[in-house]
Amino acid sequence: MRGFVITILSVSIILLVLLLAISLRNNQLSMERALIEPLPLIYAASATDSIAHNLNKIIGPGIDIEETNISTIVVIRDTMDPFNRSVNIGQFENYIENYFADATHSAISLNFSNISDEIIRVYLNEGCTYTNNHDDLEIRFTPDSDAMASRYEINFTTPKVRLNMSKPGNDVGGDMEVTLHYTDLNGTEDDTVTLNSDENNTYRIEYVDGTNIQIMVGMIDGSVVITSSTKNTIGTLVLTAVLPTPEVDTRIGYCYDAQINYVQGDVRKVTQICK
Amino acid sequence: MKGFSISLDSVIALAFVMLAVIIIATQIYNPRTPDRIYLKELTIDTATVLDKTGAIDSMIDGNLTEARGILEATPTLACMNINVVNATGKLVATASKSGCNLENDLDLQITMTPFIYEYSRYTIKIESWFRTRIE
Repeated sequence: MRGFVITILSVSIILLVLLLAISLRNNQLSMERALIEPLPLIYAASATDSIAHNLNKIIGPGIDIEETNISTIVVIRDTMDPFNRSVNIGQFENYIENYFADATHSAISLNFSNISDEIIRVYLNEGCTYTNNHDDLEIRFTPDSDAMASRYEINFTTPKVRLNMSKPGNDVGGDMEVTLHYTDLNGTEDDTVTLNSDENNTYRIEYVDGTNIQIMVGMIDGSVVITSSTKNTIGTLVLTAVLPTPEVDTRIGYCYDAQINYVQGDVRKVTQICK
Repeated sequence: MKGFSISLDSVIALAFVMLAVIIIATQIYNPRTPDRIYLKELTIDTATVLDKTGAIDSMIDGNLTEARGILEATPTLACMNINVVNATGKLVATASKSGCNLENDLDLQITMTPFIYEYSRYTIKIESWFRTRIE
């Protein structure tokens, strides 16, 4: 009788231990499920980031953003040219929506309608706007109205023969420091002045072929605008803008005026194309 | 006879206890990232590194050194095979980590990413798996 009681007790304890083991196993499986569930989201984020990266290879511009505790330095590298990028953008759109989407068993829809008309528009740090109009040959950088640039460095190079160059005038001790490094077939002109951001300060360069380029800094929105009087100008631009440090919840990066709609299984991601 | 019964009972009870101990020992709660998740994230990260360092550009140009260097820098147990395919589906370049053999029963992860090189469109396909033994 005593042996029987001991056996019953032993079996009971073992059953309890077995139940505990099953419970632990279920916990582990549920933890694995919790970790596996976001995987399609990770893949969606990776795919959209990759699409943005490759779109940037096609249409530019090169953008570097450096944030310090006192300022944000934005460096934009781009070209002023009349070349048509619509064909390449269309091919890329077709490739992603068809070939790549099929290969990854996903449904991808891209909306490039606002950039395929040769106006490349980029929003930086949720406040600044950069536009390169390849139709009218006008490049424009406009800072956030609440975060004006304290300093611009403009490095512009064009293979033209200069006739003359006019500058915005003397250093007026304003709120914005502007440094220009301008290079053409005649050589390099450097100029550093402190100007008022609410005034129109214009560098005008005239060429022997009768055309001209204007670099306007300031005006009412503290922007930088580079325009060409002719559509056959080719130039390279490196624009550095020193801006105030953004608010802590500001997304640092840039977005194109384009959208992506990505669906894979239960995952759906609709967003602007950003980096 | 009574002594034999008690001994048999003890042996059976002991066997149950041993079984329970073995079950618990194999079910120790270990909330680490499952291997296949880790491998997937490693593969996605490797694709990003290959893209942004210019290693894929070099592969398309016929130079596999940089891509192989990146593959060799991944953890020892991880194996990877990179295929670069053009827009018509033709294999343009391929590179594999050394000492890795793709066997049929392995848990294979596949990651694909788009790639543009000189305005031409490519797809990078990376197959990854954990090797079963280190050679």
